[in-house]
Amino acid sequence: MSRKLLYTLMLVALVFSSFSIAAAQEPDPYADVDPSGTEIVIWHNHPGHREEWLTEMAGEFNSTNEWGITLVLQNQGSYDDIREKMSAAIQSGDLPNLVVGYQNDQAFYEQAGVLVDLNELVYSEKWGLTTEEIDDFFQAFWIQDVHEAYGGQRLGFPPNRSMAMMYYNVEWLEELGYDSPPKTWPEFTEIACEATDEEAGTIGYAFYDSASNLATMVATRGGDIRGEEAGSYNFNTPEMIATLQWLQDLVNAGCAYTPSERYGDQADFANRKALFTMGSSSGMPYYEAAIEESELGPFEWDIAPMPTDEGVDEVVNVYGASISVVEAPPEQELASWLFLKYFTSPEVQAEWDKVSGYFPTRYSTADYLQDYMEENPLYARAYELLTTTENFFEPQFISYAEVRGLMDEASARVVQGEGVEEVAEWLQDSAEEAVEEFAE
Amino acid sequence: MGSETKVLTKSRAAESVETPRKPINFVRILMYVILGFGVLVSVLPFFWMVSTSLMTHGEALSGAFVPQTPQFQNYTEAWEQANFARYMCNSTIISVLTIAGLTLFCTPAAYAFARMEFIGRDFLFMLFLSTLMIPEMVTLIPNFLTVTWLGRIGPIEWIDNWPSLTVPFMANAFSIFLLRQFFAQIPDDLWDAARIDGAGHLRFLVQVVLPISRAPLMTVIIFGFIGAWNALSWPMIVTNSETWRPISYGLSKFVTEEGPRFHLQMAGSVIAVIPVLILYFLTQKQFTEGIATTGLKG
Repeated sequence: MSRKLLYTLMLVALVFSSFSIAAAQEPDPYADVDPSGTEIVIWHNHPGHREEWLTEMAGEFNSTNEWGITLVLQNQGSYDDIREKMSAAIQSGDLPNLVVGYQNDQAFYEQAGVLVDLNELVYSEKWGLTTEEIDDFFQAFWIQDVHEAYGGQRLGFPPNRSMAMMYYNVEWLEELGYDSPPKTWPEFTEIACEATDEEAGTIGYAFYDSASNLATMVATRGGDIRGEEAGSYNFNTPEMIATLQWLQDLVNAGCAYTPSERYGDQADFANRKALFTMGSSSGMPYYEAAIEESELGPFEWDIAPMPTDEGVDEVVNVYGASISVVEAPPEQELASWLFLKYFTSPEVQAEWDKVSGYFPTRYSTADYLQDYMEENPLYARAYELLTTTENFFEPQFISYAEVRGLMDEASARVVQGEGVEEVAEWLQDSAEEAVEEFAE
Repeated sequence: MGSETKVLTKSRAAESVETPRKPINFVRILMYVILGFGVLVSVLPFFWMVSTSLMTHGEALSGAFVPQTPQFQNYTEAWEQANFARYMCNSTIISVLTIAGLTLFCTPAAYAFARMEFIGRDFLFMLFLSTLMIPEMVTLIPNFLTVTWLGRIGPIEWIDNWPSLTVPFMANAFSIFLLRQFFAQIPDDLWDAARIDGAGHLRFLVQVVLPISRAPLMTVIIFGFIGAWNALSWPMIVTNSETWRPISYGLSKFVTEEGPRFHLQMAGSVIAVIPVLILYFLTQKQFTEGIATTGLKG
C-alpha cells in the first residue's frame, strides 16, 4: 500500500470518526465531569535531566492548574520495562492514569480494552481543542495515534517526536572532494567506498541492525512495509529486496560493517573511523558529546535525510512515543486530558524540547524555540527537514514490536551472507505468523 | 670472603651436576597455560570495568584500553547522578532481609527432605526441583498478582514496599536442594547419638546440623545475596517510586535508547560490586567448601 493512499485512508478514518462524534450529537460524556482535586499518576521512561525537568514541570502544573489536579510522576524504566509492567498491571488492575508508549504498545493495551479513546476529549466542546489548535499539529503526528484497527480510536497523544536521519562528517566529505552529502543511494555507495581504507582503519558506513532504519531505507526507495490489508505487512517487495541487496553488496565490498558493541556506530563516527551513520535525531546530544571528547579532536559534522532512489522525494521517518490515557473514573480521565493539553501547549512543549532534544509536534512551538535554534544550528537543520520533507511513520500494529525484532534479524542475516530473496521471503512468512499469533 | 664465595659457587655447581635434572612436565605447563587463560578471561571484564570507570566519555566510547588521565570524579558524579546513596541503602536492606528469610525457611525444608521420612517425600522433592526449569518470566505475572492480592488482604502494603521485594525470594528450590545434599551426607550415628540424649528433630537441626553446615549455608547466603543485589526486572514490576528501588535500577539510568554514558555506568558498577566482593572475600573459604561438599562441583 502506498504511503499516500494509507494517509488518505487514515485521514478519511479520522474525519469519519470526528464527524461521527459530532453527527451522532451524543451528549459530551465529560461535559458535567468535575476534575477538581483529582490525583493522577503517569508512568514515564525519562531519566536524568529530563526527569528533573519533568518534576519541575509537574510542580508548576500542580500549583497553577485551576482545578487543583495533582500529577504524580513515576519513572518506570525503559519502554520495555513499562510494557512489561503494564502487562502485569492490566491483570491486577493497578494501572496508572497516563502511560508513555509507542503506537504498537497502544494497540497492545487496547486489546485488553484499557485505553480511553481520546477523540471524545479532543473534540469535547467544553474541554477539547479548538480547530485552530488541531490544525497547529503536524499532520503526520496528529494521525499517528489514530488506530484504524480499533475503529479510528485515538489511543495516544503526541508530546514529542524524533526522526531517522543520516549523520555525516563534513570535513572528511570535503577531503574526499564532495561539498554536500549524497542525495541518492548510488552516490552514497560511491562515497562510502571512497572513504574506506583498510590500512587507515576507516570505513564508509557503520550501521547497526535497526528496524526503523530498514523501514526508512525501503521508504526512500518508494516502498512501504505495510501490506494491503489492515494490520498486515509486505516485506517480499522489490524495494525491500533492493535494500537488503544493497546492504549485502556494501558489506561484501568492505564499505560498511556492523560494530560489535551497542552504540559502536556513534563511537566510530566520533573517532573518524566511519564517515556515515544512520540513527535517531534524539541521539544528537550524544553524538555531540562523543565528538567533543573524541581522541582526534572535534570536527565539523552535520545531519541530512537518508538518500533516496532516483525520482523518489526526500522522506524522513518520524517516530516517538505518545502518552495514552488509561480507563479510570471520568474525573481522572478528564484530569489526565487536561494535563496532556498543558504538556502539549506550545510554551511548555518548547521547554521540553530544549531539555530533551526532541522535536515539537505543533507548528507554533517553533516560535518559542527561535533562540534555541540559533544556539543549536543542527537542531534547526533537523527541524527544517521535518517541515520540508515528506514525513512517514512505521506501522502501529500490535505485532510490530515482534516484527521489529524479525527485521533486525533479517538485516543481520543478509550481512552474514544469506540469500537476499530467501531472507525477504522468511521475513514475510515470519511476520505473517506474528500477525496471526496476535490476532488469536 | 672472596675465596669463600668461590668455594660456595663451586660446591653449588657440583651439586647441580650431581642432582639429576627433573624432566619438563609438559602436562603441568599446559595446565598452567589453560589456567592462566582462564584467569585472563575472568579478570578482563573486571579490568575493563575499572578502566572504563576512570575514562572520559570520549575514551569510553572510543574503546580505549586504559585512560590517559584517570577521572576519579566519575565516581562522585555517578554516585550523585543516580541517587546511589538511597539505592545502596535499599539494596542492603532488601538483600539482608532476603538472605535472613532464605536461611530461615530453606534450612528446615532441606532438613525435612534430607532426614525425615514421610509419604511422598521423594516425589515432592522432585516436584520442587522441577520448578528450577520454569523461566522467571513465566512466573512474573502470577507472582505479581499474588503480592498484589496479599497487599489487599494484609495489614501492610506489599507493592512499592519491602515485602514484595523480599518475601517471594525467601525460599527457592536451588537453596533447598543445595542444603539437602549436604544434610543427607551427615552420618546417621550423629542422629542416633542425639536421640539417645533425648533430642528431637528441631534440637538436632539447631545444635548438631547447623554448626557443621557453615559451608553450604554460606554458599546459600552468597547466592541469595547476589540474586537480591542484582535483581532488576522484578523490582521494576513491584515498585512505583524511588522509595524501594535497588542499585541495579540506578545503573540502568546511565544507558538510554539514544546513547550511553559507559564511563559513569562502569563507575556505578564498581561501586555496586564492592559489597558483593567484600562478602565473597569474607566467606571465600566456606563458599568453596560449600560448593565442593554439596555435589555442585563437577
